[in-house]
Amino acid sequence: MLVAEVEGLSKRFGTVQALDRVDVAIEPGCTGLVGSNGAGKSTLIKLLLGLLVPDQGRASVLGHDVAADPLAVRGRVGYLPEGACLPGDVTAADFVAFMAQLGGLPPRPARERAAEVCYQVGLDEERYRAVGGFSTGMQQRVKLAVALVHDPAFLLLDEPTDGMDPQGREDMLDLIARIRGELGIDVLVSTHLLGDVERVCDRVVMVHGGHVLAQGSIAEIAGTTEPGFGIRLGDNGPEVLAALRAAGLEARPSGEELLVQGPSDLIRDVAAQRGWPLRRLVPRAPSLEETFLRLQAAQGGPPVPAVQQPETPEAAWGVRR
Amino acid sequence: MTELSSPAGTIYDRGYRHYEGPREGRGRRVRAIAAAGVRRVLGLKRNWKTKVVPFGLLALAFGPVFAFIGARVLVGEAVGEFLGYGRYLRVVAALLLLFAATAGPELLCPDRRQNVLALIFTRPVTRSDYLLAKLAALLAVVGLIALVPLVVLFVGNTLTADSAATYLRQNLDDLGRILLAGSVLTVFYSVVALAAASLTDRRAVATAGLLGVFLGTTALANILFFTASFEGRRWVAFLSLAGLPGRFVDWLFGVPFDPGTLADQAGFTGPAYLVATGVVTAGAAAVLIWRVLRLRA
Amino acid sequence: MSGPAAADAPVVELRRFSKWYGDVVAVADLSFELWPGVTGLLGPNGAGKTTTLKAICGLLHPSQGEVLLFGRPIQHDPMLYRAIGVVPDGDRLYPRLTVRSYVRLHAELQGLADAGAAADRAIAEVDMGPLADRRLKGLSKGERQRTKVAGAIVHQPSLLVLDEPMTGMDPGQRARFIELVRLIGSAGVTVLVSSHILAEVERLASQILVLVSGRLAASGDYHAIRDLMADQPRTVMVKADDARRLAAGLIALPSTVSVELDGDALRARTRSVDSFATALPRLARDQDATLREVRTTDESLEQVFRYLVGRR
Repeated sequence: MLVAEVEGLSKRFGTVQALDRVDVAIEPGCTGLVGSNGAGKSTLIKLLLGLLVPDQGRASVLGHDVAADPLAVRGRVGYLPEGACLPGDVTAADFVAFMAQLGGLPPRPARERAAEVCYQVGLDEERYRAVGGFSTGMQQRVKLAVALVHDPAFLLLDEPTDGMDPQGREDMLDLIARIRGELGIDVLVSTHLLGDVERVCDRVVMVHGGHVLAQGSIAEIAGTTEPGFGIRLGDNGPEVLAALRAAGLEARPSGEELLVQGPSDLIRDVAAQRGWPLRRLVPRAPSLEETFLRLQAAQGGPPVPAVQQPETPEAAWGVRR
Repeated sequence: MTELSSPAGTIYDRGYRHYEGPREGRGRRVRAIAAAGVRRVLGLKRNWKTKVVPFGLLALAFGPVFAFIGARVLVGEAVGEFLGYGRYLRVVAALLLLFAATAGPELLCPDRRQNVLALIFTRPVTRSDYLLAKLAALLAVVGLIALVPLVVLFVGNTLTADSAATYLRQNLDDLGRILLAGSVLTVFYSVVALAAASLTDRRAVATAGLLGVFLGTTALANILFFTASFEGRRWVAFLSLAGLPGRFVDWLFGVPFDPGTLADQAGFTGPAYLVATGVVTAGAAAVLIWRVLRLRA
Repeated sequence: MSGPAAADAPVVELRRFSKWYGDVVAVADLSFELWPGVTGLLGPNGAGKTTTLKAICGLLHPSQGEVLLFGRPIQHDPMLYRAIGVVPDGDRLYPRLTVRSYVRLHAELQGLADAGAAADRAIAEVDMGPLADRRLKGLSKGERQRTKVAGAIVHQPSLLVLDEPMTGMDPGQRARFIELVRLIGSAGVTVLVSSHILAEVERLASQILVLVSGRLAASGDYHAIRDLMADQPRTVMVKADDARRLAAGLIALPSTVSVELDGDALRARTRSVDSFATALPRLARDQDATLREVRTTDESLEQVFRYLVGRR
């Protein structure tokens, strides 16, 4: 059963058509929602939550029609909004418990569950401190706790790693992966960071200019831009290239790697025979970013810049250090 | 994480569990918002500074009553009459204005300013639920000051009278008046204060604005009446917001309007002021409903 | 801009720079150099990055130590401010200004002779030409950030400081912005970028500065830093059909510290990646095992960063 579904959905704000007869199907699992700014991502989320009324079309979440029964939807969905939305002078435990009651839990279970969920998201004794003094990372955790405390079946996370430092981002992404994996809660992550989507999501929905560019599993969408492997063999130099080609493989340099097409056994044998170290052998990873930018450009978006992998130090500088 | 158990020992599951317990409906949600509102307004579960105004006003409302009763008990009838109920209500009304002017904004403005509404309205909470809950919270606390001190005074008078039964029989209608007056004051100040709070997201602005309007309209009414002369100038009596419920209460308890004041000279009777109070309350309610129903998550 | 500057002295130099606020030591004993090109400034929240950035822009007095731009202390030399361009955190721009007037304002504040032409040039460099007459209020986040960059480069500074410049930008805007910064860096400008998104810092800069708890945890080329993390055995992940059999062979190698099996993948910790990588293909060939994937799992900037932050 689909977690959420949208059919022929349109919404206009003044002269801007935020969504134009959009059809989206959200399958169980973790789905990424990506798009350019103003493309309709937040509009779509608000429509799914019943916070906006569409001009046309229908939306349903967890089997409930959003227009007919928005309260039922909101009772089973957890939402992590972007930006500041927490009261300053209340403790985290109190606020999460309050939000639990707003989800229908009686006061005592609300308190207990609030404490449990705070612990799960990594807020331990801090939950007795006022939210106003929290760092961004802790605030994001509070928001996640609020979204989870009433045990939703579906989580909508809007820029969950916003403003967090690298460690915090790691922790949040791990949490999201756990929520999806161990807890079996379906998740929709709306974000600008395609790397995060590649990391925790199974599927992705791409929007641009009020239309859906693509939706499906990440493997399907990003495809394999090229089959084959990226390798580091020996010094990746001309001799290596020659040997690979002599073995019947197609090979060409690309940044720090050589892109090689052909069976990996041949690569292995060249390495073994010549005694060169095989430091890296990685199936060509689909890049969501390349796909998104290409699709966006095809839709009349801005032209695609050359997406660069990290290069050698000298190439990035005008002057040698 | 699953629980592991053998006859000799068990490792318990501390992982996330799904919630299987009862889920209550609208009543729970509204009560939660209202209870949170009452706690906020009284400064409970927050630092001591937020308790100063509410508890200070409570002390001012109850203090004299308890002091008087205490004195009565110790000294007896010699203490003489306390301020009549009507006159004491004038004092209470001033306290109510101050309290509502700070509490109303406290209930509505921070949620908007800190954007907590973004979270609240993604729960199954409608705007009308929200409004109802906030109004209930304010009515409860304002009602506390409007009704309880006077009821306590009445009870005190009854118990310290020579014959409680006689006193009660003779003054029972005063109790009725107390309840009526208290209710009118409570509803008026609560609705007006919330309406003012709904117009801005800054507490200080709402409080200052509200007090400013009350003082300003009174001053304006007096100035217009006593300095200008035009047809129907007695009607400016209704311009003075502070006076509207107050004059009704005076009339209710048979307290004459102070001679020389606007109310005295304008010549309207108590019930007229009650109607005016009702009109203003209805207008404020309309503003409040319009503003809250427009709130965006 | 003109060609790369010949730099034989660092553009920015911090010498034992410390800053404390009352009892709190924000930054302690920081010494490093910045040269032309793009450098990434990384660190957990509260590590002192903002303090360091402010110091480099001349917005702070050091409590101790020196902050030098072209060899001169920044605070005492107002002329030096002409050499700096800053794109700070936050999104407060005068909404009613147009792009052109915003950039022109910056040009005039810098005392440029031909402010209009300079503004047009800067606007073209950030690719905002078609939007030059739009008001800032109606632009997207990415377009506003680009405008801020134009304002910061209009006077052709030698030093450009960017604090979390890509916040709120969508994927397309991010990719274009990274290109823009690389271009500016390769033209000889010294660019310092503070960011939390390590995957993007990897693409922007190969020189990094890592601050942890107010101190410098590492500086330089992150590939080199990675190679220096030698006091730990390196982890290599290998996916193959019969991983168990392969593992048995690998553990026999003298340089191998340990091997863990997880389904069709094995994780080996080895004291020498080179000898491991040389032995692996031979072993696989001898066993007729097909290799599906080989990679060192502590290669990315994420891993380097985690190691640096976690060390005491």
